[in-house]
Amino acid sequence: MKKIILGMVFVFAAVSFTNAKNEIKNDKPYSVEYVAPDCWAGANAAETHTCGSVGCDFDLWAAVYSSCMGY
Amino acid sequence: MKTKLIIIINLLVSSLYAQQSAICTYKLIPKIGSFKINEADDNNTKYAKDLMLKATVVAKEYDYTLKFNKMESSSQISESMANDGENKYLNSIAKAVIGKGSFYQNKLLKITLWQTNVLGELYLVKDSLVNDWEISSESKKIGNYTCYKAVKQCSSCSSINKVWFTPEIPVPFGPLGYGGLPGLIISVVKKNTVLQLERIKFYDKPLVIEKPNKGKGIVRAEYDMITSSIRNNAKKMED
Repeated sequence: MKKIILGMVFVFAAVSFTNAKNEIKNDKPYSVEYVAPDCWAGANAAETHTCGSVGCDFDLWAAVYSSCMGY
Repeated sequence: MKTKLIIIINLLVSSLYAQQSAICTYKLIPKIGSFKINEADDNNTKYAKDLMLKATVVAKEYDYTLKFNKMESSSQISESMANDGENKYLNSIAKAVIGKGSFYQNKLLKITLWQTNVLGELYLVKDSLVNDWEISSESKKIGNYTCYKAVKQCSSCSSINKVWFTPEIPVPFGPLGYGGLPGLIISVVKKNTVLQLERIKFYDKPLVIEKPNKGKGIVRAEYDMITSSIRNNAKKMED
């Protein structure tokens, strides 16, 4: 009987230790830096690199700007 | 000399293609190394290049169709391909990389009509179909056709429009509303992409070309003003 209780205690202890370890791992701060693009400038850049200059393809500019703004 | 040669070729093949209509399928080909991100690029450029690279992959799957008879042509992204799929933003950008809207060209009236949607409003943009190109002596084979380079300055921006056309198919038509040359435009060259003829199917009977009639009629200069105003308003909203 004692062996069974000791065995259960050992299993619970092992599970608790593993969970605690995972929590620490998950809370580890990551050095992720997200820089939101300037949508207007980003759309201009897309237009420049695709058709050659700003002002040559409004549809492309509008599609990139809408995508960036989430419209 | 080059112009004379083109005219002679034109006359010789004119009789051959006199009765023909055709359906042409164009495909987008990204240039090698296009949209490559460099360390020196700022964040906006990196964002734009990354987005355009992804959009180009999607755009390659689309077919662009040009249909013509002796007098008229129409061209647009193939309807069967133009669904919005899973990512509506990426598909919208991909279609814009190729060229949105429907184009109609009429050799007799010397006009190009572009039916296009600007922020939900449909416009019919009228332009002329004239040979205002500078034809170069540079030539190359694209598929079975000998093509000549032609360039012209974009009227509303600082970029140069560059195309390759063949006098072997003597119609003044091309994709994306480009035309007016003494032969079919086989390839439209942009900064990082090329829209190029993949296949052409000729028909003995004339194909029916539908002239678009829906949309507010404006000229190119008005379209440029409308779109410029939208850009400026967007900038003001950001500031």
